[in-house]
Amino acid sequence: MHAADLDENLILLMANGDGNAFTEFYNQTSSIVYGFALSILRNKQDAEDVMHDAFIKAYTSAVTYRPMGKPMAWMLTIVKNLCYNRIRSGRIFEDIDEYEDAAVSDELQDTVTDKAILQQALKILDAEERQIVTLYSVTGLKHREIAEIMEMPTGTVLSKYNRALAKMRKELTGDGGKGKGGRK
Amino acid sequence: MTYNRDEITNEIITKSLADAIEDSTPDILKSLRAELNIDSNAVKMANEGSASERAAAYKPVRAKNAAAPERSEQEGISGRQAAKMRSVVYKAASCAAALIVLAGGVSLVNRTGPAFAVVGLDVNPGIEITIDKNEKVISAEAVNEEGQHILSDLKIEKSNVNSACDEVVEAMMDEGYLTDTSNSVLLSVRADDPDKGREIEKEISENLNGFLEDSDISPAIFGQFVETDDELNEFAGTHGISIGKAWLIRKLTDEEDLSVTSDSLLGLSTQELVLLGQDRSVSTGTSYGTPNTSKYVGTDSALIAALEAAGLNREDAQNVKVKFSCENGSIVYSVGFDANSCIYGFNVDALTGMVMLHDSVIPGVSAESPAGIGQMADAIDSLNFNSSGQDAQNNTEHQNTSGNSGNSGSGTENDNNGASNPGEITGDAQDIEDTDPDDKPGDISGDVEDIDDETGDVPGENDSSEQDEPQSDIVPEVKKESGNTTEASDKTDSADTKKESEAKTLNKSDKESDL
Repeated sequence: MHAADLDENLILLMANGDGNAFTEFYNQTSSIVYGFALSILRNKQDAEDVMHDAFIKAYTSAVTYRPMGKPMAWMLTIVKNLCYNRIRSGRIFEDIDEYEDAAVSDELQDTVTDKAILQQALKILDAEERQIVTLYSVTGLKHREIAEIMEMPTGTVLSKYNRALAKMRKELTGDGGKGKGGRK
Repeated sequence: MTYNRDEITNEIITKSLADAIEDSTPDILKSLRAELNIDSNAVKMANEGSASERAAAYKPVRAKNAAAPERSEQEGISGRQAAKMRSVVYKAASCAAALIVLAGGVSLVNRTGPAFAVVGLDVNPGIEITIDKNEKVISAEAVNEEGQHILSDLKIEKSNVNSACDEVVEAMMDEGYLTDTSNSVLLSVRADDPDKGREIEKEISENLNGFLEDSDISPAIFGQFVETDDELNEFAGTHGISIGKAWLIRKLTDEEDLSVTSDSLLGLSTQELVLLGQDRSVSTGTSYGTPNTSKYVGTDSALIAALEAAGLNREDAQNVKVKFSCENGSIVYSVGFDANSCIYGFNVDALTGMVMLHDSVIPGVSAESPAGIGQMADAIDSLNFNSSGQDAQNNTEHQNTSGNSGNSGSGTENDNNGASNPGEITGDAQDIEDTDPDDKPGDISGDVEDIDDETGDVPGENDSSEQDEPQSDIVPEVKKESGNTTEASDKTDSADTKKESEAKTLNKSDKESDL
């Protein structure tokens, strides 16, 4: 799913109680919503709870949506606010054990799985790096669009994105990665 | 998916993250629908009229996905399961297509769309990347042998263009083409849709700048949106250069202030072209950073060399301008200033600091006035250039050794490029603003006062009688000739010899202060 492909008419139809529009909206955005929540909260259970609350909020707040061509940014803002509310209220788990086993078992092997890469991202990246890399990977949003959502300069987003990927490459390849990671 | 550790790339990381998140996303649609009391077989229409209109607007999307939701709901299949079913169907179709390809031996299925834009990257290696409307790479082609060398070790097809550009410049760094001292990247985008093309150029430029800064290089990204035509394509093809480089050369030759030929510019490296391009503000895109100029002598040294050649002191010079220019395929400082009611123009070799060419002493004409520019141009046009370097018949008559006499005009034209140009000096010698990023401490504005203290020179030192007779003493006999400052100084009279001596003192003290 590319964020730019999300049709904002779905939200307008949801505002009128269109269940099919909600289903389509869910199908197109569920991974993005969950991934973004996971990148902030680092916990599967918390991310799922926020995902649930976010879709409820989106459906019930669809009437307040003003078409501006950025439906994904609207949804991600809902997710971000819910996550930070949750963090502020202290209602979060602090473990990332869910993916720990996969990564540990892979460390001794020459290969690495998707799940282990996700685990590494959750483990070694800081909060902003996780969010930026996740949004870039899952939504296909451009750096400047991510910058708008994250409310930070585009240059900072780019910088953090590049730094995050360099850290990931270093961790996953075990050789520092620079000068090699991008090559076949 | 499982990947070999030694094959991990940025693309794999981002794709893998997306796949892992997709796989681990819980399916909560059913519970959501129940909680929201959404009737699975009906659509509630709170506002019938507007909803119909919105439904009509929504039709294209609905048509594309119409079958799956309805069937899934009727059969009790959740939306997510339906989505996965669609995914399975897609994958099956892809497999079938692949089998057909293998069986029939026809070309591979290309999942990218038609060409939408071409992104050129020039350092010394030149590479052109064709992308589709989703900014995915369709193909990459080398413009020269160095580019071929870079591409031989990369696989960027189907990558996002930003990732592809990162990989290309990273390879250029690895191979030593892109370094701290050779830090310029010429980024050129051309597209049928100019607005979209400019947007892509801006985005890539931002991305590249961030990427290179993180790689401990202070880059100079020179972005441009290129409007191609047959002439440009032919020029690029004839000379074996990229369209982007051809475009920059065209923009530079269009600069009246620069007055260089395309043949002269063809001999320059990308770094040098970008330097000129930035100095003359000819960018048609987004630029970051400044080209490294540490190998050049610096604008203040160039000015001192020019003053020395003219037999003048710094305080004699007004309306000083120093810009980068090109002469015979080399980068030079074009130094211009007014002094004693005359306009002086010099080309100083940027690498050696030697005066290569000086000309255009026009009495009674101000470099700042449009009339001055016109008279200057007329005078230059009327010159009877002589490569042997014979003496001028009088002080408005000159020889020249090349067709680049217009370079001297840099000292006569009003500056409209702003203070950010890397090699530019504007203003009086007493308050010259030197913006060369690579000049060492001890820049001109501070040096002049120090030098005055050392030499005792004061502004207006020349007496009025000398100024009344510019042809004899005050206005030096200036000829167009190639050579160093010593040769030029040999032609001066005793008064000028004194000034030359003072200028050398200035030069020495300036270099000392630089040290």
